[in-house]
Amino acid sequence: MRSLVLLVKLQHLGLAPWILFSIPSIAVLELQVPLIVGIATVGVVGMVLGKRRLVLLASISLLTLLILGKVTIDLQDLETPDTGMLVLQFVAILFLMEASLPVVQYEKDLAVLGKRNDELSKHVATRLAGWLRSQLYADARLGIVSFLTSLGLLVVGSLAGVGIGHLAVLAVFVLAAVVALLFLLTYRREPETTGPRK
Amino acid sequence: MFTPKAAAYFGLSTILLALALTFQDWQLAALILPIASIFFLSNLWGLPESVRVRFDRIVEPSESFGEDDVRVELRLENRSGARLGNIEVHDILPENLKPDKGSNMIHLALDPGENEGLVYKFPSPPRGHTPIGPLLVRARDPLGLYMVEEKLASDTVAVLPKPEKVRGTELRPGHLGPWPGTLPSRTTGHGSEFYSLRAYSSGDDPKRINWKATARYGRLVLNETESERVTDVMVVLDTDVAFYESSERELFERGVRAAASMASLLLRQGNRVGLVLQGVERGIVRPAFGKRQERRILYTLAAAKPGGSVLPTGYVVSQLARLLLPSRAQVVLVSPLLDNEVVDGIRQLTVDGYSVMVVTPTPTVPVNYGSEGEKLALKILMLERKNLLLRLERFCTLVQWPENASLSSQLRMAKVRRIRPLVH
Repeated sequence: MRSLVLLVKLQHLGLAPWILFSIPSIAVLELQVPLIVGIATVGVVGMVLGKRRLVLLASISLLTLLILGKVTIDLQDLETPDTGMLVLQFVAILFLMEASLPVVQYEKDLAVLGKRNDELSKHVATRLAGWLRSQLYADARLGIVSFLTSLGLLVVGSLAGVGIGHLAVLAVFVLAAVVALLFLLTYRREPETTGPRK
Repeated sequence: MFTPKAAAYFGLSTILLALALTFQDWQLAALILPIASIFFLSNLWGLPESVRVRFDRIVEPSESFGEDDVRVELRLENRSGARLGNIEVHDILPENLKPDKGSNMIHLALDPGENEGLVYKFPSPPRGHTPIGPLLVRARDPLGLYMVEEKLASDTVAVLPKPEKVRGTELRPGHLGPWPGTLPSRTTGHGSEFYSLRAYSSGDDPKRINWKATARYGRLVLNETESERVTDVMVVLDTDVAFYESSERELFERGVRAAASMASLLLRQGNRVGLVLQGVERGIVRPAFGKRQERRILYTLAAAKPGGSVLPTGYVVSQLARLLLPSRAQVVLVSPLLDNEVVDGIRQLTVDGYSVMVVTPTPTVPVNYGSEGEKLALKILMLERKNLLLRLERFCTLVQWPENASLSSQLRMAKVRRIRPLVH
């Protein structure tokens, strides 16, 4: 558990060079090294100090740079990267970002308890640890299954061999994507139950 | 409902889709797949179709004199039939309250049917009504894309002003009720104080025969006692303590304690007592007897806050006395007497036949002043107050309560005015 938390805390040290060295240097005006140092520092400092906004800033910067790199490749007609690797990088950034949020929250809640040694505080700390374990497990499971599902769908898509450049097909694809997203967003959602109970 | 995070992911998908269409790049479009998967899987493994969490709060003690720690127990039960892995529980407390044991904010996972009792404790807040809550219980899926929130209304911890142990006070109201009490009624009857002698008549209790007087008069003579009854009292607390900032709070709290002590004492003596809170926070408790009435009065006093009222205290007191009390009953006004207007109201009450006792916490003069002007202003204020006290002493019972004295001793020292109703 501790090693997992440590991995999440230091994620930006690994993610920043991995992402920045995989995108064309022209996309970041040859500033890869300063950007790596900056993003890694912001991310690690955010995790250490429990500043949720700093952690999000570092992760969203990486996500933006990944997309910017891909756009630059399209604009400059550079060699396209491997799709599987691109999706893996994307999923890795998203899920490590998601994993960092419960870690930050856990440390914040623990800090509120301070060094109290009474039974009530110990009980709260135990419940918090259980919650964090459950959150990290759920995040990992979602991340892995989501990545595998995406890869699976890509393979199925490539087998179908649709001419993506065709305008009519493209329109159908967009429409289908919107319908699918709407379905996915609303499927099995219960009505809102809010408001005071008493 | 969807959380802002879900909206952010949806926005990211839209951007990716727009870029994919603009550059006709299927690799960018492929990045939407993980996001769509996240939504789908969050639906599948996230919250159950119906989230049912039963929760409750127990606050102990909900009323106190501020001597004990407050213990709050939050009880949760997952009745959803599925595991809820991401529950946030937050019992909102005022900023000045920090739990010293346990926590009022926790994230936890609950298995189906699991019961959880979360307890936290904090030192008793100062006098007043302190809200505990509302309690927010939020259930989210692991990634926090969907959220179901339920709320439990807040409870109140009332820290009541602690009445001082006051032995007794002499009141001489014109109106007395029919029930036995402690106030001399100037008529013969059951009581503890000697009133007069009379000749023995058949059926009288032989224990009451005064043998010395019998020997002197040569016939049986009996001791008669003064009957003691109860009366109707209205305790009025004037919360206008605009005096000198550093001393105001202490002066105000002494006033609240005096009102609580007087009400408690008078109720213990069997009187019918009511309360009027006159100031920025207003309240009326109609006169009644007993322990419950004491609780009601202390509860109202707990809510008292320092600050002046728009209506002058004298006017309010004279109007409410007529409304709430029988004529010639007793009024106890607790006031720092920093406003001259109060005299007219009290004079009017005595003209109408009411017996008035004024308990005034004496302002403590500060050791250091901010400036010479302040010192002079305060001196003038104290002189005016002294003048006011002299005027009041002529037609009501005045009890001055300095900071370091006990209220009981000050009440014993007070001279009771046997007032004949003043004439206009």
